[in-house]
Amino acid sequence: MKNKNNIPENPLKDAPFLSKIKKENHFLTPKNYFESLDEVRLDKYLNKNKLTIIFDNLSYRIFIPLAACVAIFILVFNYNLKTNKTSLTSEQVYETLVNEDYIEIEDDLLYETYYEVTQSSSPTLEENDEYIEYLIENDIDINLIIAEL
Amino acid sequence: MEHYSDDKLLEMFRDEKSRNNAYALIVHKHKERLYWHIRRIVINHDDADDVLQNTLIKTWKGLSNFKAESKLYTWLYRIATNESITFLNQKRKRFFIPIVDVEQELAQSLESDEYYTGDEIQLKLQKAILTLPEKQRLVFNMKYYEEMKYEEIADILGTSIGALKASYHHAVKKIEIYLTAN
Repeated sequence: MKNKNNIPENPLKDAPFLSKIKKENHFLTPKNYFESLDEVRLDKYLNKNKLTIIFDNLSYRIFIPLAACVAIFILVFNYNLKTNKTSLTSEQVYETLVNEDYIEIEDDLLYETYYEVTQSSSPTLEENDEYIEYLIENDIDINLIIAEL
Repeated sequence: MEHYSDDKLLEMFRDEKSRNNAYALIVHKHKERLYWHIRRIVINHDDADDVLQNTLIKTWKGLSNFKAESKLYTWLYRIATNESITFLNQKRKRFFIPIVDVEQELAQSLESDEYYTGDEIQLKLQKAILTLPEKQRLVFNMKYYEEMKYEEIADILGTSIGALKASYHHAVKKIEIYLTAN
């Protein structure tokens, strides 16, 4: 019997060779495979999947926010480490600037600056008179001070 | 072990207290049929064992969301079929095997398989089945060996009954030609 699309209801009728072959299952399993599946593996699936499900549920509420916080902390910590440089002494800055040729200092300019600084820091004549007056008033022996120096 | 109907087992599964026991009973009830269904697709026992494990894990995960719109065993068969096809596709990708050659390789592996005892004609029939396109092979195995109704196969594969009849018809025709030619 064929339907409207000309497909037989039982195609095996048109396949004599196939029809003669016995319908048998020749695949085998290892001994006691199905019994051991019940006893050993099933327990493993249940326990394994309990853990997985717990992790899945917790992952959205705890693990993912926690991981995000840790990631942010690491980023901030690394940023601080990179930006927080130790301060240099003025000598180190000078050494670096001069020795590394960041700037060139002309000798004349240097002497001129030195002269100006020493001149400004040395006492004037008026100041000297004041010092002498102070020493006399307080009866301080100038030779004693020179000896101590 | 007691035999419960699928509906009763699902009812037990919905109850937290009897969930594990219900799952164990579902597996116990359907494991053999699922195994043989998978085995006919992937051929090798170790592969079938792996796919069955994946199927059972998926079942455990999905059972709480199972809406019982279809029968439990057709739902289990659908998972097993999808897992078997996924497994074969992964095998193709893993070993860079062309689409057609994986079936040829399975046919060759049957000859040296310690867990296959078929004689020459049975081996020839298995090789003939392995020459079929994937869908026709699935339909042939379910109709010829597992003697399923077209309605059940349609539920598992999500195909119309007319298309299934056509697939089975073509599969039988191709196998007959292969057997008579070889």
